[in-house]
Amino acid sequence: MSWNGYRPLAGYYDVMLDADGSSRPASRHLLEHLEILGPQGLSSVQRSAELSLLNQGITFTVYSDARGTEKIFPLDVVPRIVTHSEWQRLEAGLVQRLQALNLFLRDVYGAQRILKDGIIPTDLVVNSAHFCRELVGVDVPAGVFIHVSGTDLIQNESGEFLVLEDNLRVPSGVSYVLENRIVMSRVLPDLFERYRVSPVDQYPQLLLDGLRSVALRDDPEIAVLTPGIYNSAYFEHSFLSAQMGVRLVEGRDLVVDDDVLYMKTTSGLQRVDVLYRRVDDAFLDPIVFRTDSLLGVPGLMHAYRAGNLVLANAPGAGVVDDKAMYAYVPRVIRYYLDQEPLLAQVPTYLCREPKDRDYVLAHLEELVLKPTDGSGGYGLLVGCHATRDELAAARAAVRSAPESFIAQPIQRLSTLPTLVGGSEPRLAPRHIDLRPFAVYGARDEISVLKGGLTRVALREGSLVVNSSQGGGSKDTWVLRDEGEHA
Amino acid sequence: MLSRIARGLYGIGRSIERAQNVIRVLEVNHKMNLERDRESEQSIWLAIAEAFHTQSDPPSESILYQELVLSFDHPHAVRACIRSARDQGRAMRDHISEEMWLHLNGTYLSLSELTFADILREGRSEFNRRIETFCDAFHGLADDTMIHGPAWRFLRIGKFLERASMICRILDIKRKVLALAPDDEGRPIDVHQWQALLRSLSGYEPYRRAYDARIMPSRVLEFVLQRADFPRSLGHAVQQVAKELRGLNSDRAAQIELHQAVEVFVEQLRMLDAHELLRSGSLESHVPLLSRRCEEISSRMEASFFVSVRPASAPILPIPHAGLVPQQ
Amino acid sequence: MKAWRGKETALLLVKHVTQLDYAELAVEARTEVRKTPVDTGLQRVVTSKLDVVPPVVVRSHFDYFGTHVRRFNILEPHQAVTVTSESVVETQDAVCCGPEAPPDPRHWTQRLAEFLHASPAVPPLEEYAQIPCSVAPELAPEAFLDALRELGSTFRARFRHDPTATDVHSSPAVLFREGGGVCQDLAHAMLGVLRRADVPARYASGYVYDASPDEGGSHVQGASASHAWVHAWHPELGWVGVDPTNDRLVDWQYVRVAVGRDYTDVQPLRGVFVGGREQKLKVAVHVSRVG
Repeated sequence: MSWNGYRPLAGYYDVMLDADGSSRPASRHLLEHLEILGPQGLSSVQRSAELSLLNQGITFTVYSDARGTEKIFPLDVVPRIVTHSEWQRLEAGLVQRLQALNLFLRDVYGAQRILKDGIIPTDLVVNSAHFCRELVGVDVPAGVFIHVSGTDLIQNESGEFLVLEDNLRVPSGVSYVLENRIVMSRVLPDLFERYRVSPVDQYPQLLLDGLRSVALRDDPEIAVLTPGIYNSAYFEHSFLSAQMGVRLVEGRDLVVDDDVLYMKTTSGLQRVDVLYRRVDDAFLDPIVFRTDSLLGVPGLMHAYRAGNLVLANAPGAGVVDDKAMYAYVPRVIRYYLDQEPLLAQVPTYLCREPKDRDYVLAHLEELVLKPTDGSGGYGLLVGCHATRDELAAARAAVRSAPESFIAQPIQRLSTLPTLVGGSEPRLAPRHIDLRPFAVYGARDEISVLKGGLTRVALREGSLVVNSSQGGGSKDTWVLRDEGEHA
Repeated sequence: MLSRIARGLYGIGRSIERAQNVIRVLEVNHKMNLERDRESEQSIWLAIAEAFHTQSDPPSESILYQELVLSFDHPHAVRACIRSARDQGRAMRDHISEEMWLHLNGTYLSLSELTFADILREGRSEFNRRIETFCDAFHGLADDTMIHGPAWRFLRIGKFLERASMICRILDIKRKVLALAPDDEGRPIDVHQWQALLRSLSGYEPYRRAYDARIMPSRVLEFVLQRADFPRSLGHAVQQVAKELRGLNSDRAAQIELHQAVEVFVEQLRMLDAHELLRSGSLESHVPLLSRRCEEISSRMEASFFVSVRPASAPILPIPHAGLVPQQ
Repeated sequence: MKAWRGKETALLLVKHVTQLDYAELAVEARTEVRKTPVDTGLQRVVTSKLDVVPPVVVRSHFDYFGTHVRRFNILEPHQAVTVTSESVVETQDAVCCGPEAPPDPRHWTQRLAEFLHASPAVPPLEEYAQIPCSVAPELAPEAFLDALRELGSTFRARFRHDPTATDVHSSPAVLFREGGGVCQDLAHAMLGVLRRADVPARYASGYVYDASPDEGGSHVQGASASHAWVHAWHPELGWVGVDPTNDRLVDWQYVRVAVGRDYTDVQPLRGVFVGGREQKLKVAVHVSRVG
């Protein structure tokens, strides 16, 4: 390719180019367009995108003391293209996974058959910090626990999608997906026309429909509970509630009377049937959870227990999020659905199991060591980047508390051309991941949004895609059909 | 609409209006004092100090500026009001326009480090005008960039209720120094005082356009209390409150009663005989009555629209653990 | 009057009054109460009632641990709350009754996993190693009971009963440091020691009757308050109660209200209200024998 001599990294899967440097079929139009634009043209498109984001007003503003607005999650204009068939496989795998995880939650807070049958170690569940005892005995409306989910996926060196992590508690980021798409369609309209990209703007409607489907009453009143303007995801709370046409409330706007939840309005108390809560479990109800929480509503769990309220997501879903549970998810899928997982996971070593622990201690330099959620304090260790002292300390930690760690082989995250170089613009390969979002409604209807947040590590060589540590985002284009892009 | 949001917007309306009125009172009296001697200057500042419950004793201009402009705590201080409006605005950014927010935040930030010396350097009148312009622009933005729905109405109710209260307060300041003969212009100092009253309400030019240049006390009083087409009259302010309450279209008993009470107040103002008030010497006793009506309406607003909002001073507390500690 | 020897029963009357007084008016009080005894293999609840002043609707549910929870709200302004719980419970003169849970294919190390693990008020501490503990679920029943009695004695010798040394939030570390505490601290520390020895152990709260030797019982501490002890688990015996405060196994003198991992799961009163910070708490417990 003539574009600045962009070359994919050896040994990594590049979404746009194959190892010879020629375009993958689905990326042909994209490459042609980039060639026509050239570095300055692309730079100018990038600048337009940034301006467009700023002009979207509330969009990326930080609710702080600062004058003006600040971007909090940069967008790079080179999109990530996912072919129709790639997506179909991915979506089928996600739906299967989510179904199994929801069944798991139902079981774990109910009859606990999977625990009694010894498929999952009981202690992993009951001793998890996220195991919510208040939920046992509650009839969860429509049996849905994980109304909103965001699953983190990566592509390995063969381009295969693997699940990296489930996010089932209060997953965020979908507002970036929606806002990025608006910007992209403005700055790259011709490219949009060449491709037939699946729309994402129906997400608010999908979410609204999903929340309504699980409600206990007809014509339910839905509200979004936010911790308030100082929360870093506040924009998303405000955005989604506005898009869905439902009220945004804080804890102090709510009151429980006689086990029913109400909003305090100028027309008096108005009943709330479904609460999409963007507040963590621990802060939801000072009577049964943290007493010092001012973000929640006293009596919320009593209303829930009494069957007068839907909470989305249900409290206690974090028991599945746990990194140690992750390794058991394939078993969960087999147990409830009697199927093999359609989506693979990153191979995981559980230090709580002696054989795995020995392997981890012996191969630490080749692995990523991760603390399980209950361990508190110790951070991630990337074996090949660690110093000798760090490795020694890590080994000692694993020996003293093996159940607090898991390890995974270092993954070769796929790459995508990203605009770098400032005043001398060029494209360079940067590592990416993908977070698609799904809405789980009644009768096991799972809608996966055809798109998702592609996060990119903006620093060269970095595998860390989090926004707080030098990450950015890209628009994800899921092609509507095979067309001429196989 | 959520009680908290309604209350917040109402609060913003009141705060901005209050800041503007306070600064105008200071400006008018500053101008007046450029022509006065020391003795009457004192009495003006004293009247203002009393009306706004400031601590200064004896009051001087710089002290009053500290308390009524620069203070962050005094409920009538300009800076305190603008900060309050901005803090509320931040909490309800989804309900005001982006332009309103940027305007509010920008001015707040420009005032945050300000000292009296800075004001003198800028020039008192220039500073005062800057604040007035900010407030006018804010209201203009509200009218032009907000949907004229409940949010906008609560903002306006706050503004006009504050305006009504302020008019009463300004009248209170003035009645101590006003000559009370209805038709008589009185001595030049009295003309000056009636003019000052009008200026305090940005009413001097409008008055002159409505009537001629002659300052007749009863006409001025009528203008200030009743004139429906003068935006800064008491009558106009109360009518606007009634209009917005009507627009809210409540079906709750307490709210309907409040609306009716306001409509009654509108009527009472319409029926006032300014000439008679002056002639009979009962202006002095009437002004506090008007103030009280305004206060009543304010507290009924709280009670009927915002009552379910938990006051900030009452946090949730955990009931003490009934411990397993054996009692001895 | 029933005979007291052997596996006879006793009828105990428990009256537990909690009074909360506020310096300023309180509103919107929401409370969960855990003061109601439940039927177990060792006791039967004959009557039980709960009264609240000011009068409110009281609802019930059973929590995860099987505790009978009562809850009520006082939303109007009030300055005091009195919660009176009165129950008549028939207790058995026995220290255990065998496993009560339904058959379960899991090994008990998994089934009782949550009682083998650290919990909010029982963190892992080096100090537990200071207490010798020969209790083990693998022991034969009699040996198990002996080991438990021995542990009780060790605790009695090591720690003194001292309400001033700790407060309701104290970690067991404070007990070790001060050498004294109340039943809650002793129970938490014993839980730490037992769990460290891989013995499933849970916290129990309830009441204890101060009997006299003529009745076939013994005088005990803690009868005039809500009391706490420990359950240790044995495959044949089931849960066996040991009272570290009184150095005895739990028998007919005890009325159980709640069990959990630690105090945080069994708090007699928990909830929130809106008002001023100043509150006064008065607790009065009276346990008498009526049969």
